[in-house]
Amino acid sequence: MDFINILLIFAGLFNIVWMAFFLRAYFRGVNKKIANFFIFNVITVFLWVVAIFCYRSSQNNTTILLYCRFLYVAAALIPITFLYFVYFFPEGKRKHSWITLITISFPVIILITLVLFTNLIISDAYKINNQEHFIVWGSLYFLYVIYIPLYFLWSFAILLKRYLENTGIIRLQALYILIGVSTSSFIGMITNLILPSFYNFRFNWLGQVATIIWASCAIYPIARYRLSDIRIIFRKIFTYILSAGFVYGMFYLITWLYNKIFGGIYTNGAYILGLIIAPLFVGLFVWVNSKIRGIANKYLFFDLYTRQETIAKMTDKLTSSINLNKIIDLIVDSIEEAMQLDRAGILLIDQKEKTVKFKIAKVIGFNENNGISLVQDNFLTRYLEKTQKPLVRDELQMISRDLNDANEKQSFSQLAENMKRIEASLCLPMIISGKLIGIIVLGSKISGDAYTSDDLNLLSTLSKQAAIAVDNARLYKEVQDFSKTLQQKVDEQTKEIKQAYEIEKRANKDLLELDEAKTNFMLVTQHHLRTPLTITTGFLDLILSGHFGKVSKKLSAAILKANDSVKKEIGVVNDLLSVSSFQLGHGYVQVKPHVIIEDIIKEIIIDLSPVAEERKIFLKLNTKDNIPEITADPKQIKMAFQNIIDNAMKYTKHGGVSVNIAFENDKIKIEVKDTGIGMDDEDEKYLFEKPFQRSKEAWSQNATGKGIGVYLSAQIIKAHGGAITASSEGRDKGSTFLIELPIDASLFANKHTTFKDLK
Amino acid sequence: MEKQNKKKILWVEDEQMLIDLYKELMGTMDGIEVEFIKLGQEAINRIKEIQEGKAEKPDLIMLDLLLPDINGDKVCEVARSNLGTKDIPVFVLTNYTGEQMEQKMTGGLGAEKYLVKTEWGPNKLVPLIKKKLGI
Repeated sequence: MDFINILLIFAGLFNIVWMAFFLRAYFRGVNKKIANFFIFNVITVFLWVVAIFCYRSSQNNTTILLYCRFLYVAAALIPITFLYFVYFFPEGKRKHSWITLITISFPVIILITLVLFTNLIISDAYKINNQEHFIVWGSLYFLYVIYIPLYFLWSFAILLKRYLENTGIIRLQALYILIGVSTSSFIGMITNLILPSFYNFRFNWLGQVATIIWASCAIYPIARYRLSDIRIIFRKIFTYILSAGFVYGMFYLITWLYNKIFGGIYTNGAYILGLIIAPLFVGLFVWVNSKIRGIANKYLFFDLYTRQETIAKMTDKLTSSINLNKIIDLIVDSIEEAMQLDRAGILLIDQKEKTVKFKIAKVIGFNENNGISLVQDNFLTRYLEKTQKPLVRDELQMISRDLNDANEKQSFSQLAENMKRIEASLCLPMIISGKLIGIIVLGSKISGDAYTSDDLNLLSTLSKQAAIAVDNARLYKEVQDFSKTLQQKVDEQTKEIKQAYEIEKRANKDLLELDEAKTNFMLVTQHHLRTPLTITTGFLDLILSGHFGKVSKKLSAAILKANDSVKKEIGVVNDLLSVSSFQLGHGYVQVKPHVIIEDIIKEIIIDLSPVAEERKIFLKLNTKDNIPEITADPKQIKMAFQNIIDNAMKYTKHGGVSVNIAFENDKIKIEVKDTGIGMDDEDEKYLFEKPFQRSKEAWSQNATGKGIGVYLSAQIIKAHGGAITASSEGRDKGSTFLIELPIDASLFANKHTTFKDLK
Repeated sequence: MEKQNKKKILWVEDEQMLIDLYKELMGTMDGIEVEFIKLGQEAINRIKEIQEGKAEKPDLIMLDLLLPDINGDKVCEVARSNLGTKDIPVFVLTNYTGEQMEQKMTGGLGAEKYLVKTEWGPNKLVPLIKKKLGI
């Protein structure tokens, strides 16, 4: 077992292990046809490696020749299987595929037959000491030499075409396969084909070892762009192997050290030193391990770091803003920048609509109309809501190929079509509580690279963050809008209330004006009622006083009567106006302090004395006690008493009226006693109830009083919180009006209920 | 203008028949000159003229309240507002009885008396005026 064989074992294992992983992963999303071809190719490579191992290990010339034939059969199969694979890459569909397959296979079958069963390609092979085995070529060997590069070049041409035709993953896969296979096949062809042609078999094994390159190149793009678990495994194995290598190295180093210093490892010195070295080694090992891991990370995931940084920054900013527009800008701009994309956009589901409707929140590079076309038929929406994972356009095709349901197939194809049309490569769902709230639509990377699985993981996390941020911003906006609406409503209401208030105020003002109008009414009424009376009595007075010349007695008497009547009329008008003044709400009592009742009564008596004299009846005032000052409305009180005394005088023919003032039980008592016609019981009762109330006697006496005054007086007195009663011994026995007044009318003022309300 | 021996009354009243009556009244008194003005605005103008010294200053103003254009209280206001006419005594002679109006005239507007026409017929009015004018 020489070193080369060890290498070959390694190569074989490598091929198997990696291919296994690769296949397991790749198988998932790949068309089975291509996968089959690929496996086929891998198997042939593996067989080729195994064959060379066996070939080199053989000692017997017969077996050498046998394995040699197998070797070259396997080698012949490699290009053709590769060609098959490339031919169907990546879709797995080709027109007239069967015909093509047969056509290209035909020469190979012949060649293989020749190698296996004739001496035309390989005529002999035998061992040479300390050298690689020697092969004697047949006459048709040149065909073989032509075949291998020819088919490889053919494959490369097709691959190149695929590379140029496609974008994204496929483009990259094509590239890597091309690089890998061309490199390793180039090496292989030189060492295993060209040189042997010149009978140089020295490197007739290197081609197999070089398949490691091919394997790596095949795996790398797949691993890098789709399957992070492969990368992680790779990193693990890489770290593991390097660490193991480190331990291996340290072991021999220490052993050598022990031998050098102590002469052996079982010496006492070695044991003691070992006690120190052991813990040190552990520490060292851990450190080395992490360093290796760091290196593995750096070179395997390096692009991840810078992107992670950018995205982390973005996430920070996301959480610091609550403005929906700002957040959307941030998301789109950051992703576009971090991933170096040509297009990016966000579609948000319009939450106000009952049906799912998207609104373009922001787009860069996309045509606005196009963005919406993606979500027209709800298929994408439902799909994203179901899977809650990023959707890569390239995968769509793979998914749809695996489906059986024709409708689904159609939907997927349609979606892929739509995405392709608007040049969107990736759709990220934004999910909150299991519901889709929006989609982040991304174009391709400017570099033309595909999205790696780490990109997708990152973007997944990002879209989750974005969803939360957008949701928050939306809620915040809703709250803002709500409070704005609320504010508007409050303003409206306030305005309404203000308006209502203004209307009320105006109504009140109108009332006030009406009040003025009422006053004007009073004004006008008083004027119209009194003016003619004033004129009449004025002129009659003048006539009577002889102003216009001497008046005969007869004439004078007649005029006097007329004048009296007019004067009485003036009194009636006064009373009427007072009553209506009260009834219009103007008759409220305005109380004042320091009112002396005595003085008021005295005034009245002075005023009425002439009349009393004329009618030859007495009118006197008696004050019993010290009458205190009261709080009352002097004018109204005067009017009230004037009416009563006047009334008393009116119905007294003989005798007179005496007014007696006393102070009892904190009340002023005023008695107006007359010696007139008196009243009977019925009259007493109703006297103060109504205006125009007069005793029956009064009617019969033909007295001209109209009964208003007494009513008015009663109202005034009641308004002061006082009381009035009238009594009589009977007909012709005179009447007594008793009035009581409180000291402080303000306590009672205007609480009298028969007055109408002022407003 | 040089004041003559006659006393002057400025009488504001719009009712013609009452003017006739009062004319008769004043006719019984010697030494009194009366100018009757029917409109409030005219009265205000006259007062302004008095203020400017263009008209003779009266010794008494008899003032009706209910006038066709401006009410008498405004006239009183104008008279009160100027130093030149502030001191002229004002007797309100009206048929309007109202507590508030009476207070307003005798209080804020400084009218000396508030007389109700129906109460103050010729027999009462003449002696009062005479007394006021010192005749």
